[in-house]
Amino acid sequence: MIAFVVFIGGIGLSMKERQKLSIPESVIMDSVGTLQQFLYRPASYITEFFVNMANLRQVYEENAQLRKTAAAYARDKNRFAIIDQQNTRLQEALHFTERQKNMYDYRYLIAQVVAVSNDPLNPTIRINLGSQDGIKTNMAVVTVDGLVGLVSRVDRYYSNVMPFTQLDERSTASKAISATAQGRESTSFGVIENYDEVSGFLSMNKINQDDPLSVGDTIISSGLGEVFPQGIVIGKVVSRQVGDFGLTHTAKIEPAADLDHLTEVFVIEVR
Amino acid sequence: MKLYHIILIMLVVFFLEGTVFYWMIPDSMVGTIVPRFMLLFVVFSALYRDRRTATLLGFGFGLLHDLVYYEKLIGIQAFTMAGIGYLLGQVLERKRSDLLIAIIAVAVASILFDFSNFLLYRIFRLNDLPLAYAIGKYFFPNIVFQSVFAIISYVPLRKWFESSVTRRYEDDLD
Repeated sequence: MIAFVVFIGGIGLSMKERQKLSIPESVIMDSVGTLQQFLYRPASYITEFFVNMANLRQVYEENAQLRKTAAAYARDKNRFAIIDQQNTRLQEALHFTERQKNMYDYRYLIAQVVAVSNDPLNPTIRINLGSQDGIKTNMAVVTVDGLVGLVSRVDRYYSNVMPFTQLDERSTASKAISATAQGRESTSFGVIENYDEVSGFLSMNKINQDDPLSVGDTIISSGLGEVFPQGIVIGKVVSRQVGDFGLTHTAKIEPAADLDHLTEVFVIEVR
Repeated sequence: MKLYHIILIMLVVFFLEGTVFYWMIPDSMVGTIVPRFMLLFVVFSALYRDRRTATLLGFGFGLLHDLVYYEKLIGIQAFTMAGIGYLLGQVLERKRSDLLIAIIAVAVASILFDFSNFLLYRIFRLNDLPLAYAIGKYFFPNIVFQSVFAIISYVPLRKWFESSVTRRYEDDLD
């Protein structure tokens, strides 16, 4: 009985927001991470090889599509360069401070996944970047498709990522992400707070009643909190209805990124 | 086979669990089938060695899992695995259990483990899954998965744990 009480108390103590890990914790995490790294990557290469063999036909279609996208990208690049130059010139003219200029200047750090715990109540993705590489808690982690999650624990050489499936408005340890719709950045706003495990959709709350947001819109992070970077694809709107209190609307969002069997992710460093 | 050999094997399996075995699970089954080989080891050590070893192994490897995949709480798995090891040891230790008893023990351990984890995360308000959904989604598939692995690993695990009991240690217990 005493052991039971001590145990539950101890577990409760570990719940509070901790910035630094104790020495034994980080020693264990680092040494385990090193070993896991040597196992995860070969396993992923082998599995992907067989999957790729099976999907050989799809590769041709994908290739054709990619070529089209590359052509569009080449067109857009010229336009982007001109707009970028113009933007810098205007920022100079309007006397932007150094901090304001660097606001949307993000660094994408590539990280390899070293291990995954697919425990339904405590899913964790471990990546091989740590405090040594400038990783801090709450940094956004993305794949090419979209948002994966947030960095939850940072160790010297490895860190743990909390996938977006753990977002929960009722939980004591969750976060919320301010979001907007692509192409309507100045008019749409909502907060992504919850992931419904049963339906597999994220919910975006606190949407204004006369917000133009509609089904099919791509939802991106708005960056208004200045902690979370701007412009990360989160998902697509599936439906929109009146929220719990009738004052604001709630939208269901289908996540863009697939969390199963990740190999490489990007951590976004906000400068 | 000495106990520390078994612990070494467990460490290797622990590393494989989050890496190689994770990749062997098909995409659609991620989150449904959760390989929990440490639990298997703990159950077998409770059946074929004694409850003290089972409790310690459960605590040690549970804590290792908690630290490595630390997200919000430390000690959930340490607590549940140690508890399961102790309970099963209390009931079944050194009873010369056969395959059927071992499978039933593993199935019971699996459901106890899932349920107590579910409950603990609920207590700390970190889990709002409906229980009925969770049972269908991963409680039940895991019982089947864990039992199948119990059948596969029954022979070596039993042999290892039975041979790990030294003569002097056995005298101590009697």
